[in-house]
Amino acid sequence: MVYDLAIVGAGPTGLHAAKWSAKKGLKVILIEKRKDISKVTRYCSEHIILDEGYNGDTVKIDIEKGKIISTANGYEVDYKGGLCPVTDKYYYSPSRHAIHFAWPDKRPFAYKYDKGELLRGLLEECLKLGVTFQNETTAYDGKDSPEGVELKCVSKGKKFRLSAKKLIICDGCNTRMGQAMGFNRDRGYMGFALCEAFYMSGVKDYNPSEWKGWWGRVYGSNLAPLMGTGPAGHFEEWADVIMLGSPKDMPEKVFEFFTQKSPLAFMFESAKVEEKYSCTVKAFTPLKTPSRGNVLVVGDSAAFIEVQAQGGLSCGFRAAEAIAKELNGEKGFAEYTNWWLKSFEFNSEGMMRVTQGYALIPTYEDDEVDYLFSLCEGVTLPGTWSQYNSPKYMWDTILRDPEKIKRERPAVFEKIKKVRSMSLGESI
Amino acid sequence: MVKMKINGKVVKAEEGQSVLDTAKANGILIPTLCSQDALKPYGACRLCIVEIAKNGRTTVETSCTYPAEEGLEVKTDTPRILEGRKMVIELLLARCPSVPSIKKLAQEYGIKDCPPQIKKENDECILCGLCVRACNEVVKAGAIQFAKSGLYKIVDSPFHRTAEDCIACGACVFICPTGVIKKKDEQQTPSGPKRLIENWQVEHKLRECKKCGNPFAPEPHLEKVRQEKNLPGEFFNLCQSCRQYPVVDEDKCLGCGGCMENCPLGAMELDDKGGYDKKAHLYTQNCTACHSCEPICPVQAIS
Repeated sequence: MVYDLAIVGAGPTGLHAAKWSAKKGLKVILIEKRKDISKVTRYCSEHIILDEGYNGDTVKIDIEKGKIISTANGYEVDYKGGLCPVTDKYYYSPSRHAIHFAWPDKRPFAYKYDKGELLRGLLEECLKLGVTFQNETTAYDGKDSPEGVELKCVSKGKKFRLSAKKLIICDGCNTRMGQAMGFNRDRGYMGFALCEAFYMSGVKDYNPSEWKGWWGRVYGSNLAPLMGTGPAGHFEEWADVIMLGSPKDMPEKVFEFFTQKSPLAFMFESAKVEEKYSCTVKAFTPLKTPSRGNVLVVGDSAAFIEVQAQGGLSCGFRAAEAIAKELNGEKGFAEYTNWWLKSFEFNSEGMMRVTQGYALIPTYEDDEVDYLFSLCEGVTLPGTWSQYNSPKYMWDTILRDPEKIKRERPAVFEKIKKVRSMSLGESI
Repeated sequence: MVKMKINGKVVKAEEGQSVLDTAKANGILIPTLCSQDALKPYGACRLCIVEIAKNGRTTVETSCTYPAEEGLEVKTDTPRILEGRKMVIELLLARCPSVPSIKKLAQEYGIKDCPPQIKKENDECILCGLCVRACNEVVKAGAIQFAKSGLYKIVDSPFHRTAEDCIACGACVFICPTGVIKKKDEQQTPSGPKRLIENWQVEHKLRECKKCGNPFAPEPHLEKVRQEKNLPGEFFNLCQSCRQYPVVDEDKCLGCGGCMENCPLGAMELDDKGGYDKKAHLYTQNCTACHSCEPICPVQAIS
């Protein structure tokens, strides 16, 4: 049987693409490696970000009606699961100078949500619309020809093939299919990060509406350990403690150091690990032309850093439109590419801002980080979750008076100048 | 399915299957030198000739290139055919008097007198073209081809110089029925182990296994396969005997799926044991033991 559209990956992107394609009357097959998508086992931070214009969209949440509303792309998604507002974000230096992000009226700038619940709801809608849901199946390779796409799949060790006229690849940042079909060939590869998250009860100073990060070697990692809101159902009791690492610097080891030997060990004296999650993130530079032949690569699969659930939903929505147009002989993919390049900030200088903005360790020594953070003390920066705005606001504040830094810490000033003048290749 | 007769016996054949393959499948032997299952039929050696009767007309055809058809009547051992084959063998013998497989055929067909010899280069090559076809069709390197014509026809590298497209895989050496193509793996050279293929004037470094240190395959060969199959950079670090299937420690595994998202062959899957309890599971039938999943695991559950 030849489907109109095959979608690889039933995340927010894939499900949303399947839903809107099915609404347009297409025969859709959705391929997913897991059996039950509502039980999320791969860790992700699970926030809906309310920043204005974030990824080319401003998302609103209607708590009473249980809806996530996209104002720019014009869709609504039902969501009736738990929500926990995030109102404050702190970055700490080794001797606890803080950079504080918050709105003056304490309105939330992000919501922690329940990803499993969102996916479950979307899948239910998809099934009602007649989408074929092929779970426990991994698509690992494919071949594109003018007649259509042939996918190689495997399920419980048995290999088989599927055919479809069009294909949407949205299997996440590690994009197995994107790699197999050659989309990663022109992308810069920046290596991979390992992440482990610990949901912990009994953490001292835990506040569900705060998100914290600690920068400095004293905390045991080049990548800041983070702490945020726990999972839905346990917002009040469990803290989400996130460790990033690499094969040389395993997150488990960083966690041990952070909770037992770092200056923050006191917070974890009576804490207990309730649940553990992990993930591997391969970082590639964004895909500039996310389509070729009959294939469209969307969501995290084509991205530089996570597009987040809302970015995924938008990608899915737009991809469904693009596919419908392509099947009608119109130029849907070109339209999608335009939207993709325009909307996502990492496709422009936003990407540089992220790589350079967070490159604090090991560029700066601990006392230098202290100095830089002390320059931001007493200022409350606008509430933001965005990966582009956070470093921008932070560095704008630090560099309010560059002459002062030049006078007081010439060495630090030189380092800043060097980092700022780096090209992407060098910063990788 | 079509029905036809070979030597009076009614046999069934798939449509499109060659007469040679049909005979082989039914235990009827037709001698051949240039046919190989992995390659397309070529019809070069002419040994597989048979008499084919169709619509009351009988012709002599090479069975490897003739497709099976409904109602064909094939005879593989008529005097006319045996005489024809004998002629082919005599000509081959005149060209390559010292090749064992030709000598054996000559004996089988009762050729006693050695025909006058033809002096020429490569006098062990029977021009079956297996090496050229394997290089083009299977390896897809296209490094060698026929050169010159008539009496002087040989298989050669371009312009009789180093074959630049040769990856030293050795497929030509393996497939050659007369052993005229020779490869030599030299372990001790100043620049490490090397493979030489004299006929094509090629010399390539052999990759050494990261574990046992034994050289196991030429670098350009591994690199070509790796790129064609889109495999990770470290895929061919280990030799075949040092490759062991990775083992998943289920107590450590958190079921994040990182390993399966990175497995180039879909060998790693998630076993759903209900609820939160998901574990990575390796289906070894699909695994090539490349171990690209090992460093990807955030909790070191794969070893």
